[in-house]
Amino acid sequence: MDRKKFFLSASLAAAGIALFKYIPFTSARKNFDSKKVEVKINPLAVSRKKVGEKNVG
Amino acid sequence: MSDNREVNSIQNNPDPNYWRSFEELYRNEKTLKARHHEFAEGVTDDFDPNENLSGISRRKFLALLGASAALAGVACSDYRDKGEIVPYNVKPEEIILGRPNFYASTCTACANSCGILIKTREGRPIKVDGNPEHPVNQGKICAKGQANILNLYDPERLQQPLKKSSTGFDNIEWKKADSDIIASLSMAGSKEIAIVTHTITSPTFLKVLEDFKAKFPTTKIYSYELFNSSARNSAWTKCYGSGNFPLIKWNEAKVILALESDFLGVEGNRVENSRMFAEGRDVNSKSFNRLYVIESSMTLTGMNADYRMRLKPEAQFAFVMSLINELNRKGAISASIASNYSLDEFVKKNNLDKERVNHLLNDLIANKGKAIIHAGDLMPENVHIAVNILNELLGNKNLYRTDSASVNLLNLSSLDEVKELTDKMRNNQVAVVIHLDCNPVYHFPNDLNYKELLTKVPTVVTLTERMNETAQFSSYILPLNHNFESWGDSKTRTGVISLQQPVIAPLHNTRQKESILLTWISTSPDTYTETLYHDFLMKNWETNIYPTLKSRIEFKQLWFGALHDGFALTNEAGQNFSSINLTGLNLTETKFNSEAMTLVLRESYQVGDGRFANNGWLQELPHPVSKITWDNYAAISHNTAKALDVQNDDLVEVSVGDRKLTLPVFIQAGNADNTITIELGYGREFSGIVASGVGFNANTLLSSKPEFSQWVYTNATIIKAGGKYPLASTQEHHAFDNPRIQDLHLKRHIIQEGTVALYEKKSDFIQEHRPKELESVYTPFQYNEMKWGMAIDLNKCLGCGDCIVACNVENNVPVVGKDQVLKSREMQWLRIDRYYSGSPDDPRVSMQPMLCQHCDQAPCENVCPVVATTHSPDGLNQMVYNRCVGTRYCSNNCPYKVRRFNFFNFRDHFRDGYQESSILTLMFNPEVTVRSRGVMEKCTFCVQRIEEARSEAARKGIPIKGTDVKTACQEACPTNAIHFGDINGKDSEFYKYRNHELGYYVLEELNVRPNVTYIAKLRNIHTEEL
Repeated sequence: MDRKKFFLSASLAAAGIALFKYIPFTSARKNFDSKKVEVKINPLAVSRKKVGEKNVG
Repeated sequence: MSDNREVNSIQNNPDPNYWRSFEELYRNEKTLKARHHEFAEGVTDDFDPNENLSGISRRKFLALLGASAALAGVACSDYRDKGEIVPYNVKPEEIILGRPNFYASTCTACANSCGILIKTREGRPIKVDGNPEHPVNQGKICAKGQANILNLYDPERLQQPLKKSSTGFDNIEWKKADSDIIASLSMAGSKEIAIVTHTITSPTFLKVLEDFKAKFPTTKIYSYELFNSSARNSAWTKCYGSGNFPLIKWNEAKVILALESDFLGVEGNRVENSRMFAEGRDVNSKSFNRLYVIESSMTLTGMNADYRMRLKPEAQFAFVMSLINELNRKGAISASIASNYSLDEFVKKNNLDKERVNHLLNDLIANKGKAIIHAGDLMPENVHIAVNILNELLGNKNLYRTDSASVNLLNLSSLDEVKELTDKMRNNQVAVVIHLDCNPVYHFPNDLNYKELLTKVPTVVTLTERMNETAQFSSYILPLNHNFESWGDSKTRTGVISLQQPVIAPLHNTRQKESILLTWISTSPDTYTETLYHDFLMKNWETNIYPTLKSRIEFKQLWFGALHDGFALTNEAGQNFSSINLTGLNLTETKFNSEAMTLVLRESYQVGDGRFANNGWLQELPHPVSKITWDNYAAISHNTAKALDVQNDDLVEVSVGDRKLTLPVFIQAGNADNTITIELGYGREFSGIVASGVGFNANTLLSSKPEFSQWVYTNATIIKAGGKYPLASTQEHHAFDNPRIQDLHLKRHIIQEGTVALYEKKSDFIQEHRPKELESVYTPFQYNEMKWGMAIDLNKCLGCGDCIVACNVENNVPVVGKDQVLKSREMQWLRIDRYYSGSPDDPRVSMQPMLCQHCDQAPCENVCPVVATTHSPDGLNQMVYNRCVGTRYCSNNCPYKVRRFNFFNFRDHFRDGYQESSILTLMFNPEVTVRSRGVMEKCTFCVQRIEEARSEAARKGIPIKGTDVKTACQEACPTNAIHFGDINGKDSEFYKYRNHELGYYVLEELNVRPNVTYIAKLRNIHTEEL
């Protein structure tokens, strides 16, 4: 391999790796995480600690 | 051996010879060969080094190695930050870290409105079970209700209101959308405002709609269901003056005759039906009902029949009339309405089994007042009328429930009313159409041209959780809250009103439909607040519902108590039935050509009417009869298949009139000849990455002018279309070795069954087959304290698959997709093996849930080179995931084929990483490890629940008891077929089953000492021999 070809290959490889770092394969996939969601409980709901509890008849 | 000889030998064999598919029955060489191999052919193809790396040079190998190292270095330098785990700054009062909270609510997966209990962890709903206190479903919930949790976290839910633009849909603010729509409603003038919706079960929502009508007087409401009881409803109106048909005391019936009725599968409240039906099949009390099923397609109900006969749906009316005439002739009843019919002729003409029909007749006579005849929803009005008459004449009205009746808040619109709507749309008489969480473009027959007519309506608004066919043709798409984010109430029965409460605040910028309508009623977008509907609901309860309850406690106490319980009991009278009014009843028979092809369109067991097509767990749930996943198909009998010269997976073209559909064929044992059965709910479009393109849209075969019934079409045609389409069936996956080619010296009594008559004569007949326990060279481990075991009563197991979905949700089991199911890589820990016996025309069906048997001498444990699978002192066969290196030796050595290997990280592999989206991961059960690629997994007996119970017992300072733990499958089973507990706990219900005289172990002769006891199935037939 001559010097010119070696440097060309090396720089192409470096460029490819740099490109892959910023545009990974997964970028072609659908992005399901467009927005972060926040989990909040509804303060008006009534919870219980056990499965088998009954309050009123 | 020729086909006929094989079938004959099976029919003549007194010991049922079981077969799982036609391939097995007819000794298909490929299928039998596959039995020798632990893993399906091609299961490791993707990973074959000889194939993928053959012919590689040293230079190329080193280059690839270098490139891989460089890429790995780059990839690992940017490890994805999954966020930080930080404690609550301000801890919500009701949350204790690591401890679940439960919320009682109401399921809206269908119109049955079952009571549910939603388990949350740190504010995230993670599991849905039935509410044990709810009087209707009593702690049980169907597969759809359980899988509904996936819909909450579906990353493809709409998150923002949308407005149609020239290029598609643009985001729009709620206020802007509201003001635009309010303007359209206000300017409607004399033109109609059409609200299209599914069944209304909420009294408060009905009040919202009434208020809406008062505000916008040209409003008309159209409610519809793709599958409904309209024919039964109109028959009851004609017979008894009220369309509120009664509920049935299935548990008290001694004889049940189901005519094209799948009451255990998809009709009515099947959770309640199944429980009550199974109560009538109890080995402990030795009480057994007898189920006769006469149907065209093999259904879940048909699979559980003691006697099953095949009959085309068009012949059902003549059959009932012939029964009436014969019973009259025998003096059992007095009726002259059917004198033109002869049962003998009918039996001959339709090739029915004379002996079985005689048994039916004698049973109906002997059990007058204790039998029930039930026609299916697909049947036309005249069949229901004839059935009502027969039940009345036999005194079977005793079995109509009077303690509770179904309540119909708003009648469904008839097809004629829907046609009126489309006519008005055509004539530009409709100003606004509002679709309330429904999908009429997909559901309505194509000949109504609904989709095209929507373009003639100036404003089309669709309120929906996710994109669908109807939303595509709308001017505005408004995103709805999920059931678990919404307030509501529901009344489907007398005596109880269920309450629905949000267990989590809306995850996205969504609103519930009632709040949206209330905002429009106020004509000001500023009216909306997060508590708008909550306040309305509470006020409606206080002013309209609370006074009717005649409660002695004040309203707020009742309100919070009812929210806690999930329902409030009401003091309403039950239902009484006057005598049938025979005058003017339509008892004319629809003439048909018995040789012509009949098309039967049924509701999908998995995805319903298509509402659950986006739900991977349901798509991958094997069909209870055919075991096919991810598709619908044309099911035909093997005789019809022979006549058409088609085989499984061949494409056929089905047509009725000018409506055509090409889809694959599946040969279904037990189907009536010249009948095509297709399930609806598939072939969705614009419905997201999971639903779109799965299966075939057979709604295109529906007609708005049905001659016989909305779901049954006579004079259909079917032709071979050419080409194949692979159906992903799990039927031949994980099959046991064939008894006729292996271990010929042993009879493998995998399925053991007998008859009720034999059981009454010799109650321990099953024990004759049990092999003697072999001596061990080792001293067996003594389980003197706790040892876990399971017992499954095959008399109660209906094969519905609710347990499979419960297991998936509880144990974070991934969806793998159709391509992986085709390679036998499905991951479900629990499968239901379905065996046929007898002839392919009229097979008997046996079901057997199969899961890890937690063997005392587990063959999987001995072969693991890294000790990843071990045995616990309380009898559990355990998996240590982070030790597993994926040799698959354990799976190879498991005789029950219940181990599942992660060939991929399926969460990443399925549909572009759909299951790895950050929102979907909120659904995971934090008590169960999420397994990755290269790891073996299997049923753990819900060890996380055992540990939770153990820690609770330790906290209380008492020993753990077997009854403290319920596995997910046990909790979900609608018929209580699954029992779990301590094999040494002598006072438990489980202990009775563990040591039952009908109990046996599968493959007991292998001496692996399994810990799942199967209670042999008894068939309630008229002979001792099967």
